[in-house]
Amino acid sequence: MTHSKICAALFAASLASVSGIGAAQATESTISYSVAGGTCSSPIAVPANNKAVLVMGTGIIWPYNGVGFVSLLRGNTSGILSWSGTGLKDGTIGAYAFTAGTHIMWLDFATTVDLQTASSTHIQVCNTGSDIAHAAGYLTFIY
Amino acid sequence: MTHTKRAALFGAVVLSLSICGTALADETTASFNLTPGTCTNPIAIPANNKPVMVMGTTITVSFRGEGHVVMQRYGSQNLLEWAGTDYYAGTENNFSEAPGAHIMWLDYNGKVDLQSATSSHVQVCNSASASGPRAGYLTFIY
Repeated sequence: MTHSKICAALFAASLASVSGIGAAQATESTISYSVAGGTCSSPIAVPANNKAVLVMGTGIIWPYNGVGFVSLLRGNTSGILSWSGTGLKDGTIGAYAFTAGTHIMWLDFATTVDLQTASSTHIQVCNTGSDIAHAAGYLTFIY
Repeated sequence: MTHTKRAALFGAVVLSLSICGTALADETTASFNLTPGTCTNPIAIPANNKPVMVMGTTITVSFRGEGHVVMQRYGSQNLLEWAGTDYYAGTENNFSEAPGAHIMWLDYNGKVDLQSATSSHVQVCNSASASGPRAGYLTFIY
């Protein structure tokens, strides 16, 4: 095989194994939440299926502020959410769930404001304690 | 359900969860090139209270490295909080109300330091005692 044929074959093989979808700008959506003690937000849709979605969150109620992020996968055919990332209170995070109510990451410093799985592989923010009467903050999705 | 009740229900939903809209993510990149023992000018965090992804690299040959954190600038308290990972130290998560706090390492051997700076800005400092400057980039996505 000539050098040019080898190069062409290698290039074709690389195209077959890695399909570049093209460069574009990332989509971003930000949601603010405000959740009373003992309640959860409405289920929040993960904005893409089967692709990695960066989910960054904050809690902004002083002095219980917090921050964290995960890369989240919503597998629409299997009903799974899986994620990995880092939280201010959690440290390194990595897990998966098929059911609602599983802890993903804390959004506050008091480990009260919980980003959780929700029904239909959505997510929700729950204010699980009484330290913060009304938890508030932001969730940003980038994908 | 009457139209009025539907409106009340809609209002309750808006109260608990407000979608700010879908848009393209904003990105800004700053470069640095620091002689040993120096820091950049303070670099502003581009949003308050909202999560901001900060990714950094050192590109100087033999000292390269990278890291990323998600950061919150809580403007009213001069507070920075962050959580993330870098090549040199692994997990980085902490908070600070004072300048000079370590946030993450941007290089291979723990000399190029992203730190908190005055007015809850950030700065990059090269603490290497010798062997020339360290250069790289900081990218903010939010």
